[in-house]
Amino acid sequence: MATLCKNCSHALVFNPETQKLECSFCGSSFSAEEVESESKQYRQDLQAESMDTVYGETDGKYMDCYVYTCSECGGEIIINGSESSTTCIYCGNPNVVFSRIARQKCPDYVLPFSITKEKAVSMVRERLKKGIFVPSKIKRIKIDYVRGIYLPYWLVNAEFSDAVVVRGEQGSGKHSSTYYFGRAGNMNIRNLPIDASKMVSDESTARLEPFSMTLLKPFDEDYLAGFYSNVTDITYSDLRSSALNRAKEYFEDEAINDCHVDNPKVIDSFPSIKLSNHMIYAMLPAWFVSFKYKNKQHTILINGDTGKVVCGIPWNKILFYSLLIGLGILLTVIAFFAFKYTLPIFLAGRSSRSSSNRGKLIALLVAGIIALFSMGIRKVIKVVKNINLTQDRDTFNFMKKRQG
Amino acid sequence: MDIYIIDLIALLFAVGVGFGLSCWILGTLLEKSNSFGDNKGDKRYYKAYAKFSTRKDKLTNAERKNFCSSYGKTICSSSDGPGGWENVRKLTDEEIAMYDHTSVEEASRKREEHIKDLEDSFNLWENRNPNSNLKGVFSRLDEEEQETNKKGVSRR
Repeated sequence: MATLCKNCSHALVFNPETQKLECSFCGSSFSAEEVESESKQYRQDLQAESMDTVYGETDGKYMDCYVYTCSECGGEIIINGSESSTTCIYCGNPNVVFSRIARQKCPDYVLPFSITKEKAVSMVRERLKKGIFVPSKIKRIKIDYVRGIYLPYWLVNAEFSDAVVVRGEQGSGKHSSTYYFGRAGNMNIRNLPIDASKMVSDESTARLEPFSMTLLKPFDEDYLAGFYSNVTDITYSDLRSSALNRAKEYFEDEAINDCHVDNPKVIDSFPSIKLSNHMIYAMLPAWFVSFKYKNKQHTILINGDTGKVVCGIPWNKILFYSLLIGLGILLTVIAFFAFKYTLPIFLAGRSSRSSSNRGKLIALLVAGIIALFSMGIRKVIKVVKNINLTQDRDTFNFMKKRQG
Repeated sequence: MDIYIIDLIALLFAVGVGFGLSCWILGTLLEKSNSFGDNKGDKRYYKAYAKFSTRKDKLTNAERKNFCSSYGKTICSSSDGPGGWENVRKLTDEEIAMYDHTSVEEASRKREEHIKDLEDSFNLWENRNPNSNLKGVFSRLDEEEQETNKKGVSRR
C-alpha cells in the first residue's frame, strides 16, 4: 500500500534531494518521521497472496509469484517472494508490501537514497563520455531501465581465526630465493555489511561499499515509497560463507603485508568464523542502470548514498590494439637506439667484477620487462573481469523483473 | 660480427621494453577509461585488524605442511547459531540466550550494547548529508539560535 498525502490523499514519493516525502499532486512535503499512518496496523496484516491460490492453480505454475492490490487504483501487482516495495504498472504509484517488513521481519535501519534518479543517470553519462576507449555508440546509448532498489544487508560482528602459509621471494637477482612463512592469529570484525539477497552476486554488491553508516536512520517504511526493495532471503549457511570469505581476504592481506616478501601468495590456510547472534538488519540504497550493446545487456550499479559507480564498459578493441602496437613500435625504436649506443659501453669491461655487474644489469632489465608486461596484462584482465560483472544476467534479471 | 650481436641484443631488449611499457601504459589508460569502482570496502571501515599470535619465518618443508593443522583452530560449533539451512532472521532474546549459553537478561543487554555500538559510530551531533533537511538527534545550533540562547542565559 502507498503512504498517502494528508492533504489530498495522493500517493507520496520519497525525494532523495530534499530527503522528504512529496506529493506530486498538491505539492505538500513531509519528513518520514512526520507521516504517521492511521491504517498502519491494518496495512501490516495485508498479505501478498500466492498467484497459484488466486488463479486456482495446483501444479505450482506461478511458483515464486505473489499478487498484491494497488491501494490507489486497485490494480493487480505481481511481485516475487522477496520484494517488499514496488510500483503499480497501471497507475505508477508506489506500493509497499507491509506484511513483509512488519514486526519480526522489520529492518532495524534504512539508509535513505541521497542520489536522485536524474543524478544517477547523469553520473553514468558523465563517466561514459570521459572514457577514451569507450565506443562512440555507447557514449550516445539509450538507457533502457533505471531502478532505485533498497538492497537488504545484515551488519554482522564476527570473530575470525586463521593460520596461513605464505610463499614469497626474498633477495634480488641471483640471490633471490623462495621461502615459506607461517602466520596464525585472530581478528574481530565490527558491522561488516553482508548482502542478504540471493539474486545479486556478492561480488557486485561488495563493490558498492562503502556506505555512510553514519547516516543510517531507524527504519521507516515511508523511505521505501517510490523505490523498489527486497527483503532478506539468504540462509545462515550463505551468510557464514560470505562473511568468512570477506574476513579471509582481510586476514590474508595483513598476513602478506606482515611477511615483507616479493610475489607473495597464500598457499594454505585454516579459516574459521564465529558470527555474533546479535545482527543488525538494514536496507541500503543502489541504483541499477541498464543498456543494451551488441545484443548484450549491461547493468551499471551506483551506490545510492555516495554515488560510487561500479561497472566495466566494453572497450573499442580496434583503437586499443592499434594504439598498443603503434606506441610499442615507437618505444621500441627509441629503446633500440638507446640500447645500441649504451650496451657496448656496459659490455666493454673485461674484469670479473664488471662481468658480474653486467649479469646483474641484464637480469634486472629482463625482470623489469617481464614486470611491465604482467602489470599491463593484469590491468586488462581487471577490466575484463569488471565487464563480465556488468554483463551478469542475474543482476540484470534482478532489476528487470520489476513492474513499472 | 660483434656489432651485429649487439644490435640483436639491443633489438630484443628494445622490443621487450617498448611493448612492455606500451602494455602498461595502455592497460592503465584502459582501466581508467572503462573500469569503475573495482574495489571493495576497506578493512578499516569494519575495524578488521589481525592480531598474530604466531609468526614463523622460513619454514622447513615439514613445518610448512603441519603449520595450518598445528596453529589453526575451529572457533565455532553447530550449536552456536541456527542451522545453515534456515533463513537468516532477527533472533529473539530467548533464542540468543540459548545459542550463546547465557541468560535472557544477558542476551538482551548484549543486544542493547550492539545497537549502541552502531549508534555511537553515528554522527549524532550533525547530519553530514548536505542534501538533508533532517537534523541529527543533537543537532548543532545555528549562529542565530546560539545568539538567542546566549541572550536567554544572560537575562536569567
